[in-house]
Amino acid sequence: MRVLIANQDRTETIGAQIRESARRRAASGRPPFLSPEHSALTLKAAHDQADYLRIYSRLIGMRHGIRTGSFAIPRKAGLVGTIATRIKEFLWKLLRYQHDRIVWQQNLINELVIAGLEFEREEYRREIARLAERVARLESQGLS
Amino acid sequence: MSALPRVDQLLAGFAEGDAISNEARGLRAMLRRMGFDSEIYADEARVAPSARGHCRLLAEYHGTPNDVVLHHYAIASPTTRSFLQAPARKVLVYHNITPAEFFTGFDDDVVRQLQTAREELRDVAGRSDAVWAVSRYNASELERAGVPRVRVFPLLFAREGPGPLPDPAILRRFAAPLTNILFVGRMAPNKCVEDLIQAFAWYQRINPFSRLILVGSRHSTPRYFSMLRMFAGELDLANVCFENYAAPEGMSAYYRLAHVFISASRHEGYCLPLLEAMEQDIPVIARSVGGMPEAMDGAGVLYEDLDPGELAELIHRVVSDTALREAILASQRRRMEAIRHRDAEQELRSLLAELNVLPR
Repeated sequence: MRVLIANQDRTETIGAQIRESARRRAASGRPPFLSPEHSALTLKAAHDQADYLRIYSRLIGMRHGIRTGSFAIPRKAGLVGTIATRIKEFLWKLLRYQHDRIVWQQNLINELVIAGLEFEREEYRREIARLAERVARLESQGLS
Repeated sequence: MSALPRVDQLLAGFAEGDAISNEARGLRAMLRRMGFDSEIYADEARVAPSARGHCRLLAEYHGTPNDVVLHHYAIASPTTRSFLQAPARKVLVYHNITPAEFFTGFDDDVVRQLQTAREELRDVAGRSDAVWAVSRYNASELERAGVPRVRVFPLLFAREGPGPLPDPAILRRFAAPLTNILFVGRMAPNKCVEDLIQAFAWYQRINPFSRLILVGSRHSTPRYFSMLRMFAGELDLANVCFENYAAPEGMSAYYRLAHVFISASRHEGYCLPLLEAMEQDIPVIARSVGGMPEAMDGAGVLYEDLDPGELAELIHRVVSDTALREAILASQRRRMEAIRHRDAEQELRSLLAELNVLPR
């Protein structure tokens, strides 16, 4: 670690403090990072565009569903903050019945589109294999 | 008709907001002020439709032995061949070549173009009458590659007047009083925007009333951009705002909104947005790599080897510690003052004099 602030090396002071703060915060919980094989960042390991598409297709297959679980509503300090948060929580409960029906429909559409893309890729793979076999056969006939 | 020779510029491409295109426009304006006839030519296939009126097409370029031609070099393109075949006196302007590995998997064509540019660099430099680098960092890279007599002509950064008024639509859209963390730059793999998103995921645990505003073209590397969107989605980060390229009024609005500017880029030849943010009096945090320490020149905050959680704590410190923030801003104001005193026109005169274009 190195931290330079206004041309002064502050690694031993501010750097050490932020490292300690980060350690304490990590001990109280992490952001919801996915495992490396499920994260979008796995796309950085692609060898070329074809490999990217293969990984992308796998990842998108895992992501068709819209999450409907409750989420943390940030709360500002003070009475106004508490009231505002309570109102937001109440509105979310009120809307949830209608919201979940819409989400169910959207998830269904997403699944069907992704499945359709996979069917299309499968057809392309089959067609390319058939053409490659035919080219090989024609080449072998031409050589003989 | 002017007694001075023409000084033209050849670019691989031309687009609004692109750093090399902006540099070429700044140089053209300066050359014309100095009395030269000067035009910009770019490969037709890579001229953005919105920028058509600001440059000429490469096919129209016809230099003479009396002319000077500058070639801005950062990627392989048909422009390099036109440059090498031109009868004019040749100046290679080196903007650095992003290591191709960054683009592996995201864009096979760009990987090849960057590899070719790197392979041909020494040859192109050897066949040029002069080589100018846009930063000392770039010059030292050329010298390590065996290119002799490299001159440094830093990227132009000159703003006249107060600048455009901020776009009111953007100010309205971001009116909610949140802490705004700003990044400006193309959505390209070397910029490591995913590092910013990870740091922001941690920062939201410190300050949930915050947003990350990412301003830059998403068309540069679409596969990388898709990865970023997917990554922000899997972290359930609603306040990551992908804003695409912005016009000057838009940029003015984003800078007005920003509480801190940050770049986690792992490769830059220089990085003008750092200076733009400093000019707007926004504290700047940048990774200490490539040409960024040179652009900062002792101002702002530079870091190395921070994990995303530590970077989030650093952002929090810069945003919330008033005394620290003031010290950072004071250093940045000194940096901007030094830049304002730069006499770029005189530097250009000296460089052209070395080509016997102007009296020494």
